[in-house]
Amino acid sequence: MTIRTRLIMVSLLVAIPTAGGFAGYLTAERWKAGSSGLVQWTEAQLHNLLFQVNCVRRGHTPTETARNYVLVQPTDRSVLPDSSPFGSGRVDETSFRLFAFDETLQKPFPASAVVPAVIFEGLAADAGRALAGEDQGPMARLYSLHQGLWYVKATGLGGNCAFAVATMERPLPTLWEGTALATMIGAVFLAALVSGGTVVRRVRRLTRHVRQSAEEGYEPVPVEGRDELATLASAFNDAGAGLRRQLDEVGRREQTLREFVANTGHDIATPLSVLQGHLSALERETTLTDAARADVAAAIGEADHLRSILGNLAATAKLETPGWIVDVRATDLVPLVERLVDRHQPAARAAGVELNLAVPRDPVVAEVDATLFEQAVGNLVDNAIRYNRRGGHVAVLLDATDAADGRFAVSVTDDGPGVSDESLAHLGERHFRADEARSRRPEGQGIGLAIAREVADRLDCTLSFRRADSGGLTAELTGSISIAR
Amino acid sequence: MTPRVLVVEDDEPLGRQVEGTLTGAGYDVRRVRRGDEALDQDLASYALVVLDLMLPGAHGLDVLRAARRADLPVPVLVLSARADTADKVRALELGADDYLTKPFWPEELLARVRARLRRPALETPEPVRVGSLVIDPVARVVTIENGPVDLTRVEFDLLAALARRPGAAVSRAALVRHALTADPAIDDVDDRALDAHVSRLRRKLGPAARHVATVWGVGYRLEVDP
Repeated sequence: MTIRTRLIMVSLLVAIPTAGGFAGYLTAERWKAGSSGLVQWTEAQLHNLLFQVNCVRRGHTPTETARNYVLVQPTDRSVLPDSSPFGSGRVDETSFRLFAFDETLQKPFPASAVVPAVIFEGLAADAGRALAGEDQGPMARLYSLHQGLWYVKATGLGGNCAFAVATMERPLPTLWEGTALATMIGAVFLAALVSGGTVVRRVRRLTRHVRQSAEEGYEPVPVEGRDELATLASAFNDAGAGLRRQLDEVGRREQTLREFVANTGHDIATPLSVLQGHLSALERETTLTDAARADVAAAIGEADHLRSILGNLAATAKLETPGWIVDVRATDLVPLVERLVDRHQPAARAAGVELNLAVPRDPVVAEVDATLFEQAVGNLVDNAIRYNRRGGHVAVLLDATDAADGRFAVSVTDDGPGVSDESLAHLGERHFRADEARSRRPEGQGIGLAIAREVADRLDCTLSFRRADSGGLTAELTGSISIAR
Repeated sequence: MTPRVLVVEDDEPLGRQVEGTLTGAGYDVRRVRRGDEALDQDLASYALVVLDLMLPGAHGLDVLRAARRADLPVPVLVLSARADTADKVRALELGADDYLTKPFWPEELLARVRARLRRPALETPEPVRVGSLVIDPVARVVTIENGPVDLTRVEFDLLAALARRPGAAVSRAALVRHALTADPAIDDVDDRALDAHVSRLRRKLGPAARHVATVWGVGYRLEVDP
């Protein structure tokens, strides 16, 4: 629910019951005054009538009319009292309805209104008692029915009985009062709308500024006015400043860490080259025992693993550098692939794996970042060698189509144990870590493939995996070749 | 004449090793440790310079510029310790012929050096000799111990495709494109057809068939010295 809706609902919830309460109070006051006026006026009419009747009895034969119809409806305004019997309230003929019956209560006066049954019964009982002389005082009942207020009285006097039934309809608020109440509701509603609207507009503006600020490195937002919203904006600015300080700090630390990684990689590269040289010399040594030869092969494998890790470390540092954009240049992939196959030959030999290569005779020029591309394909070759068996094979093929929109493809195929169908389906996915594959291929697979995938993404290449005819795995990296071949 | 190679490397163990590797491969190696020492050398007298970039005395890129300014530009193989494209790219832009990223295996170094010093003989029209087998791509004649071998067009094209790069594997796809189909758009010739042609070719070559070697996962290769 928005703030605006909430304000409107609350204002209506307050204004409508308040107005209703006022209206109720006004009618109740008028009701109270009206009811006492009703009683007084009716009794006065009744006594007046009885007196007339008695006068008639004393000297005259009571007329049928006077006897039987004890009360007539005061359609004539002169019947009504000059001053209002209802306090200050307005009185007119529509405020009262009078009813009259004959003495047997059988025949209503033709012009009279219909009397509700409950009132009629009370009236009959009272009349009977009055005529029987049991009536020692004025009997009266005030009925409140849903249409209004009814006053009923039967009075006996010297064998005569008079009945009075008067009704007063429930008073309604006057037009003036109604207008005043409606105006009040409208005013409250409008006030809520106007004040709420201003607040909502400012909140929206602040929200927009905050969003923009969050996108632009938490620059301060403008602080408007001196109220709670201004405090909120200031609080955001304070929080943003803190965040900026922390981001700067983290950025500085990352920068330091990246430099450290780069420098350490640099420092390791040279002695590792020397170590590789010594191991190569040992490998060429013909006087070694078989056991020593196996040790040398293992050491070459480990040294090559170190070389691969170092390359992945540098590639990761490069890929993770914020704001770094792939540095692509037209590169002939033929010497690049030849170079990386040369690089993996010692490890392949040490692992007893035959590493084969075929490249086209002509240059295959593609827009790539040579270092990253080499590392990506190198990781595929690493995996193919490392998770192969002694006596296994790895084939690296570079091929290209001649068409103008030509594509190159570097494929790495092995005849190792391969991976399960399930892992195969996931190998090309970005964040997949082949748990199954890892359990069988304990080290390195995750990061090596993750880097190959990341590089493929950044260079607009496609990395795919399929089962090779040999039962092993084929990894293939494809991309567009440059027009200028 | 033994090719002279200048090695410019400030790290003593690595320099010694590079020197050893190249000397072992039959090159005449001169090694210096500082950039300014390299600049003092008569660079034009070398067949190749193996150059580290981070050097005391003078930066490797300055040495590179000097090598490119020589009367007869000397090929330069850059040893880059940084796995950083920008560095290598600058070196290549300045005229370096090749690069090698540390850490490297000695045989990578040798492969790069050999590739640099190899005579550009790829498109030789001269007959290719491997053992007793001679392939003449111009005359379209194959002889074994001077006796001619009768080959079909496809068989000759297969052998000629392998002979264009003796010792290097040629992919099945390339062989199919070069020998089995005249239309390069048709890539999808049955693999068995290729194997059948090679099999017939080997029968006709007799003892020289060992020169046509199968390369696992790749295709075939003209074996230079089996």
